[in-house]
Amino acid sequence: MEFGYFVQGLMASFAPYTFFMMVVSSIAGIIIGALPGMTASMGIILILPFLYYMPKDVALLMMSGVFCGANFGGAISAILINTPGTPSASATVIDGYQMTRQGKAGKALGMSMVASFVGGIFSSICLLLIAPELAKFALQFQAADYFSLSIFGLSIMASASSRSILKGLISGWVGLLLSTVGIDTIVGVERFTFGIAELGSGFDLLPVLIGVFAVGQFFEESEARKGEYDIIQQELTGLWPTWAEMRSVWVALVVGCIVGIIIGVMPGAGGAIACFMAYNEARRWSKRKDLFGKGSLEGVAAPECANNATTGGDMVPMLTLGVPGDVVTAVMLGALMLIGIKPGPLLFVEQPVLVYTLLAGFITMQIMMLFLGMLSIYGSVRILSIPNTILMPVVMVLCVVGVFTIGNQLYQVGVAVAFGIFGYFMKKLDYPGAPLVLGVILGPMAEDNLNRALLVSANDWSILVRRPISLVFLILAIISIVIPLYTAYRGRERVAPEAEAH
Amino acid sequence: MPRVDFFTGLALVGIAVGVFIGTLDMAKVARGIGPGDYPRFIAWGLLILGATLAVQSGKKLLRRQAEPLPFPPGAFPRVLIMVLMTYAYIYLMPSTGFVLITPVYLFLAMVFFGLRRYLLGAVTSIAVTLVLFVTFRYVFQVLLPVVGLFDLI
Repeated sequence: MEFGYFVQGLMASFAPYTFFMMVVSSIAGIIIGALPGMTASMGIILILPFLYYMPKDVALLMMSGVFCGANFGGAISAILINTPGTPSASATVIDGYQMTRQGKAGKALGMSMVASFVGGIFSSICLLLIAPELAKFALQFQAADYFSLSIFGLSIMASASSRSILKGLISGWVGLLLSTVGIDTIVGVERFTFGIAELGSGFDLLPVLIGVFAVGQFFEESEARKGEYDIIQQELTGLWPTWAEMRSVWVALVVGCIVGIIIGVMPGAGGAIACFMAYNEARRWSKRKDLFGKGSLEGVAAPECANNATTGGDMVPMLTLGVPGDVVTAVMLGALMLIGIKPGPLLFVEQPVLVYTLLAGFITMQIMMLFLGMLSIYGSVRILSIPNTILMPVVMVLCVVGVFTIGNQLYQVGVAVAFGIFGYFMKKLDYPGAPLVLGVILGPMAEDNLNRALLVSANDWSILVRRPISLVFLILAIISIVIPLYTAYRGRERVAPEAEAH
Repeated sequence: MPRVDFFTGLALVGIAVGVFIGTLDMAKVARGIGPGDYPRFIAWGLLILGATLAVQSGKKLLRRQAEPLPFPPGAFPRVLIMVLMTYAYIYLMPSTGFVLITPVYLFLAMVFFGLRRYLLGAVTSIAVTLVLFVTFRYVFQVLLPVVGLFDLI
């Protein structure tokens, strides 16, 4: 790290105009993230016309502001209305919404804000200190490693199901099956499209996500009779987590930071995968595993910390190698080229001030986001004082509009409603939604990378255990599957004699 | 819910068999995995999981450990009405436009949920529609369906 450049960058990011634009873009990001269907990449595309007129450093920081803001904003709708605003908030729904049902929405949002801050600061520091080393690490990943990583991700299915492991696995397996719909990427054969042209491109993640969680919830609420629409009183005091609460979630935060940065630097993996992995690992290391799925603070802290820790990680391959880590950084890369910045190894040599302005601005933004986020929480929690009779239909229309934004197609809205019906039955029959989403996200990654690995190794399956990174992920996957099964088995063994004694 | 689980398990087995048959005529490849291999692997997994669910719940059924269904009385018709209403809303949107159909849908849904203050419902429906339309159409550049008044006549 060049300290002189860093100080220069810090001063540039505190220049009034730059700072003001950072605030504006972060607020825009929070709003975009909180709207179901709107993602960080859409936000960056929206501000693209304005970036042409900005100095390069301001344009860079504005894009980062939207990116970080949207990552936090996604948690607001996930916690308040059971609708992940962005795919990165998919795992926050699990415990965040449970806390809202218990009247602790403010506390959940406060924790998500602080966790996002911790993850963001950690990834900013990593970006600042070890970006080139992280980029080298990311380059070592090959197809076999990605396949094993996706298997590790899928192994979370077993532990992401709070009540029945079998039902969690079924849900995840159905997600995997859904991910096979469409034209396959290997030889271009249509799979399970039933002659419907739109199914050729498979199911988009957003209609599935919004359908299963938000639309399913809407249908479930509609089954209640008149007069059963009391609002859940929310505690609006003590939004900042107490010292004791922070101590209770420190393991989840550490896990979130590590998982977030590792997943972030790997091209192709992103916040949606990181949040589930962090959730699973936090649960594994937690002393209060029983609270997960029932409104655990750790269950909110880990995914939120991880999805913000991916922001810095995502930037590493983009800035140092010119390789986008995910959709958001791909859009950012395009935007950077449009405004005349060429990311890659030479960027650090040719434009050090610009790079360090971004790095310093990234840290400044995390601190700023902490306060902007808290302000947004005070406003957004009041949404819950609206009675369900009004709130639920409005949320439904918001979902319709949000899903419509994917290519301006009503077909996608129809898909979301279909998944809403599916989600409704899943809820009623006790099938968790998170494993299904996980299957849809990781299914294509597993298939594509297994195919690539086997092509490279001439059908030699041992490549999966010969590569150290791949082997580590496979071992972790086995541990991840065996432990919940063993715990469930032990639990049943313990219950059986007690039942007999009674 | 052993009865529902039993039939769900059987349905999953059926789906798995269907997927398996559906992949039989897919191309085979010499290297790597073919387009049918991965779905077939998933089908095997689904078959095992579905069969396990059916057997587990079948055992409970035999022990007469039946539990009531998780649906409150009268829930199905209400949910069905809401589903049909939502699909009608989506179906009619291209021909009526977002601004015209959304307040109607919102108002009907609010009343369906139990709102009895009709004026509040009507005003909220119109206000929410206009805010969403302006925000998404003019700020986020989302081309929400618009239909001119003369097109409707």
